[in-house]
Order: sequence, then structure tokens, then C-alpha cells
Amino acid sequence: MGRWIYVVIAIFIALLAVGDPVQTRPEGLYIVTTYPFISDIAGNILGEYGYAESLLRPGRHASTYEFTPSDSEKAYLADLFLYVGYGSELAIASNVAGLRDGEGVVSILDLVARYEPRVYENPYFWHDVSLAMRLVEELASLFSELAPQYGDIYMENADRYLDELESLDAWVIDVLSDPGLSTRSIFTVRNGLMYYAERYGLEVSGYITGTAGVYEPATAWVVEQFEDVVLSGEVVIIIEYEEMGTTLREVVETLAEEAGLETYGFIVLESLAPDYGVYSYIEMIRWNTEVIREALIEGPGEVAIEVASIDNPLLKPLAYDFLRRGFLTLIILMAMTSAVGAYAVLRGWSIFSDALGHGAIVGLLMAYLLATDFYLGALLIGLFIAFTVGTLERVTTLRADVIIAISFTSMLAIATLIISTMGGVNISLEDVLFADVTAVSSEMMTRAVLSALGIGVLLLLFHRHLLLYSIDPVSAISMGVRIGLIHYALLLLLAISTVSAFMSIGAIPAIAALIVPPSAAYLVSRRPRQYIGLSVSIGVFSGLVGYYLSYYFNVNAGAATILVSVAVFLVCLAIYLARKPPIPLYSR
Amino acid sequence: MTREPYIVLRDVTVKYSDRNGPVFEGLDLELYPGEIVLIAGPNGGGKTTLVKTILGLVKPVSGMVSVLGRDPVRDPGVRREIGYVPQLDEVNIYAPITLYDFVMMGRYPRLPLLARPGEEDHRMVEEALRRVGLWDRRDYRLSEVSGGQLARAMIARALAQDPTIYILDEPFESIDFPSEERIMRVLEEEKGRGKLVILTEHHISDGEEIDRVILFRHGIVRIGPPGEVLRREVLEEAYR
Repeated sequence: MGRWIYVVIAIFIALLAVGDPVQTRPEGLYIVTTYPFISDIAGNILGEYGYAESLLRPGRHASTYEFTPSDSEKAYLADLFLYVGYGSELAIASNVAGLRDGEGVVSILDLVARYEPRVYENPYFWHDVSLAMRLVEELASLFSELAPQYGDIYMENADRYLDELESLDAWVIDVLSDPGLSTRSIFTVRNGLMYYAERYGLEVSGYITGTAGVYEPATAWVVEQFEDVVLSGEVVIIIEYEEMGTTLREVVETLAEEAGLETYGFIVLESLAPDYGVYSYIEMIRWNTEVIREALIEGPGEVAIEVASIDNPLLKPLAYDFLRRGFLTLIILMAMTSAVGAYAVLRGWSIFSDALGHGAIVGLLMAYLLATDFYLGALLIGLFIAFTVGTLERVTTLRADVIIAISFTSMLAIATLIISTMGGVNISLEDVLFADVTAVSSEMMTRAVLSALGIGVLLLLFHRHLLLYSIDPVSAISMGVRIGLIHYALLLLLAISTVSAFMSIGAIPAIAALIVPPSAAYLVSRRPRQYIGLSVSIGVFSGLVGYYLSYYFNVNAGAATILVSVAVFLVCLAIYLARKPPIPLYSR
Repeated sequence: MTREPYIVLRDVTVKYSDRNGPVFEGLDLELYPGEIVLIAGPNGGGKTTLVKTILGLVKPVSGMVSVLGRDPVRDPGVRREIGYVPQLDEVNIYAPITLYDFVMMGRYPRLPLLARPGEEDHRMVEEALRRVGLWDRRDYRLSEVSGGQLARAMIARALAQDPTIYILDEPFESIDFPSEERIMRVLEEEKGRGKLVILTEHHISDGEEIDRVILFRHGIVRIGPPGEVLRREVLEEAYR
């Protein structure tokens, strides 16, 4: 055995000696960018004397990008690295800046800031073609400085490209000056069309978030946008391609549905969209303009409902169907997860929800890859994890926490592997952590209700078996309880409730809902019935208060719900400590 | 003894894997109603495996096991007739549950789905708690009583189950003498009612109340009344 290791090392060294360490490089500049639209623009300037490529593949989300060694190598070897400088894309640029000690790393915002100083507040300047032309000029002189021997060629290429952009600009002006447009007012997910609107005579009346980044929708802002903008009946709602798989898009779709309006899409902000034939900057602007024109011709449509006039502060947050749906789903999910969580905490399986929460991300990715239902994907992976962990726990002597830790780290690794292989995906993983209850569709609510009903019936039927199994499994076996069945049944209940909660309120609130309310109840209860009842009550109370807090303080409902349950936990802890002095565990 | 045995093992061989030898081989054993049997022997000698075989949790590779005339592997329902008292560390004693509720768990196998405990169940629980001297502590949580009281609560739960056979896995491990005495008194009463009581211990006490001792080490080293088995030279052979 020992000898083989030396042979393997020898072969490896031989291969190193044979391989050519000198990279073959194209003639001219080698430019690497974050987004593909920048590499497209750069490529047009370089022409045949240079090469530009992007780290993000067309159609992929910056937030899901994972570095690979070959990408790092590209970024390191490039003569120049170009990026925009906002949201998750900024994180990619920071990594590259680290790799290159900050040398040759340039933000395109810095290049155009002297023409348009607002780019640091709103970066999407390139949707105004005249500003994109300024960028082309700046890049051409930058490239010429870096490689003076090709300077003339770059300038010539830039002039040719600027001609194309000029006619593009004229074309957009022409298309959007169509007198047949029924409105000039638009509503988008991100505020990505500000410069476009200003240049081409439109108005962005509302949006859910400023730029793409870590943003968690807050209930009050959503309601304000809904009442002030969507219900005005004067805007067309346009969805961005980059938001296709995000909660924010679901929020906007929900608002549109509530108002009885259509949404239009997709427009492309930054990622390009190969599945719509958008491979270049020019194609992106053309595509967007066509989509926007069509939407503006069709017009906003008839708004089906009016702004609710409710003054009662308790009823105001429930004024619309989508709010009531979100509220109800939150309450039902909290009741369900707190009930199931009660048994899980008793069994010492609370960390299991963590494994399921992380595993469900892989489920989402698989579902995305197979273009199937996200809930189904997450549920199938959840069940797979439940079954695997449950079986390993039974057939090995490893403790559950060890198996669970192996499970969720490997699931996250698989997720990262999938993402890095694909160069990112077009669903936002940030949303997975905290989803938004205002984005709960009728279908999602139906699923939550059905899951809760099913789980409620099973818990009622098997409460005693679960209790016995959780407190004293050995005796449960000896009493003839089919413990294998109960073991898997509890895992199944955990998987269903975690995944249902995961899909509606996000992974973190789902995990918290399973653990925090039961833990609080655990501290102060004396009897099983009281424990489970209290756990469910705390869960429901947290959802209720969390929802109202999210409405009145404009914060994310899932996060508010967790914090309320943690506050209740602290109160229970105080009661527990006041009742008896803390004695170390296992002091008996 | 002319009575029918409650537990019969005929030529039973138990093996966990092909790599290791059998835990025991060709075991023959009969246990009768109205006796208290102590299975004693060193750790790792197969006592627990023997108990698991009786409970039907381990399937013998050959031989026949019969509990109350039924095969405990194929017919796990027979386990309801066995009041099994596990070791203390098998129980989550920090669970939010009072002694009363804990003892009520003994009634679970007899309750139909969805049915709440009836008068008879409450009466059995009260009686069981009174017999082990814990009635006045019924509202204490498991974590609020001493180890000895916990052991008594576990006996009470087995009593509430009203089984035909009791199996106690090392019940006197680290508990106080008064609790041990109380438990033995209750077990003697059960024996008087014609129940079979099986205890396992790895250390040997004097065993006044024991009818038969099985000295077990990968099979029966010696079986008989305590006076015969619990002798120095016999024990030395088993524990060598």
C-alpha cells in the first residue's frame, strides 16, 4: 500500500513536468468582467485584438455565483477586471480585487460618474443608451492606455460600435414616442429602469426594491406600493428576468393578481437572457423596448378593487386578500410547526429541521434544473434526507446530531456544486432564507392548509405513541409500539412541516418555528398536554404579533415572528429560573 | 413445577454477525409463573441479549422462543403482556412530564386510538403510585425526584401496565437502599399474584427474595436457587 502512494506522487510530479505552465494568451488585451453585458461591450471595442469574457454566465444570478479555481485563474490573469459595483455582484468584485491586490480592477460606475453622478445610488445607467455610449468612450481610452500598440484599432472599433449604439438610441426614442401608448407609467420589481424612463420619456411610479441585493420584503412598504401605485390604475407592471425565481417577483405577481391586473415580462436588467435570445447589450435594449412598448400599448387594464378604507388598527393589516392569505398561512404554519416541533424537541431532533431547511435548498435547485414544481422538489429532497438520516440513526451507533451535521453540510455542498457548475442559477438564494408572507399564493395557502390538516390528524391519532417514543423509546418497543413506524412517521411529519414552512416563510423562520416555541414551552410545562398546547399557542402568538409588527414597523414578517418567539422564550426562561435555582444538568 | 412455563427457549442460538461467534448457543430455558428469577453475570456476557431475545427484539438464528405461547418476533403484540423496566439512562428525564403522566404511559398499550384514559386507568395509576410510595409526589416532574424515586416510578409504570411478566434491566443500579427494598417488596407481591419477575444484575446481591438465579455468561453457567448458585467457587467460575 505504502509503495503505491510513492508511485502516485511520482506520476503526479511527472505530469507537472510535462504540462506547459505558460498560458496561451490571445493577442491584445484580455478583459474579464462580472456581467456578460459588460464583456459584450468590451468585446465590441477589442474586436479581433483582444478577448473579453464574463465570470457570470448569461442568464445567471450574481447572488448564486460560486468561484471555481478556473474562474479565479481567469480573473487573476486578465489585464483588466471590470464590474459594476452593487449587490451580490460587488462581492464577486471584492474577491477579484483581493486576488489582484486591487490592481486593474475597475468599476464602470466610476467611469461614467462624471456624466451621471447618481450612478452610485442607482447603478442601472446602461439602460440609457446615451450613457452606455459614454461608457464605450471611456473604455476605449482605457484600453488604449493599457495597450497603446492597439490604441488606434480600439478607437476605430469603438467608433463603429458607437454608431450602432446611436442608431439603437434613436430607435428606442422612435419606438416609445408611439402615440398609441395608453400609459407611460411603469411599476417594476427593482428600480432598474430609472435612467431608461428619463431618457425615453416614461415614468417609474413604483418598485419593490431599489437594487438587487440582500433585501427582505417588508409588509408595510409592499402595502404602500400596492395602494398608492398599483391601485392607481395608471401603471403597467413589468417583471425583470433576473427576478423570475425570487420572492420579490412573487410579491409583485400577488399584488397584480389581487388588483386583477396582468404583469408583463420579462425585461432584462443585467444578466442577458439566452432563453429569450438576448445574448448582447444591444439585443437586451431592443428586447426590453419591445416588451415595454407592448405593455404600454396594452395599458394597465381595469383595477378590480379599490383602496380599502379601514381605520381599525387591528383590521388594517388584513385589508386585502393577499394580506389575509399571508397572515392565515403564517398562523397555520406556526401552529403546525410548533406542534410537530414539540415532539422533535422532546426527541432531541431539533437540529433535524436545520438539515431539512438546508436540504430543501438542494430540492429547489433540483426542481429548477428539472423545471418542475419547487415545492415538490423541496419535499422530495426533504423526505430523502428524513429517510436517510432516520435510517443511519437506526443502523449505526452514531448520534443523531452527527448524522444530521453530515447531512446538511453535504446538502449545502451539493447545492454549491450545482451552482458553481452552472455558473450561478436564476433563482435568488437570499430569498430562501427569509421569504415573504405577502407573496403567499392561493395555491401555497391551500398546500399549507392541507399539510396542517394532515399533520393535525396524524398527531391526534398517534400523540401517545409519539410521546412514548420521544420520552422512553426502549419502553415503547417493549410495549409493542411499532417504533420503526413511529420513527419514520415523526421524520415524515418533520419533513412536510419544514418544507411547507420553508416555501412560504423561508428556511430560517421554518427552522425557528420548529424549535423556539417548543423550547419555551419545555421550560415551563409540567405535563405533556400542557407542553404541546403551550408550544402551539406560543407559535401562533408569535406569528400573530410578528405579523402586526411587520406591518406597523415595516419589517420582514418571518424575522419578526422569530424574534417574538425568542422574546417569549426569554420570558419562559426567566420564569424557569425564578422557580428554581439553576442546577447544572446531570447533577443527580 | 407442574405449571406451564410462561417463557420457553429451546435450543436457541443468537448471533449478531457472521464475523463474531454466537452470543449464546443452543440455549434451553423455562421460566414459570410465580417466580422471581435473577439473571446475573458479567458485563458483555449476553444478559441484555437474552432479555432482548425474550422481548422479540433480537431474532435467534435457530431455535424456538415462546412467550405466553406466542412467538415474540412474529407476534409483537405479546409484548403488551411484558412490563419492561429499562435502565434509567434510557429515559429522557428532563421531559415535561409528571410522575403521574409517566405512570399513565403504562396504560397506553391498552388504550384504543383517540380514547382518553378512563376511570379504570386512573385507578390503576393511583394504585401503582401508592404501592411504590410516590402518590404524594405524583405532580413532580421526572427531573425533580431522586434516582431511587425515579426507579420506583418506572416500576409503578410497569405495575400500571398490569402485565403478566416483568423484566427489570438492572433496576438497582445506583439507587438507595430504601428504594431497593420497596421495589423488592412490590415485586414479591406481584410474584404472589402469579406473575413472573425477571431481573438482570451484573453485581450480585444476597438475593433473599430470589427464587432462581441464572448465572449467565454466553450461556447458562449455572441455574438454581440462590443458595446453590451464589457460592464463591461458582461465581469465580462465571466472573473469571
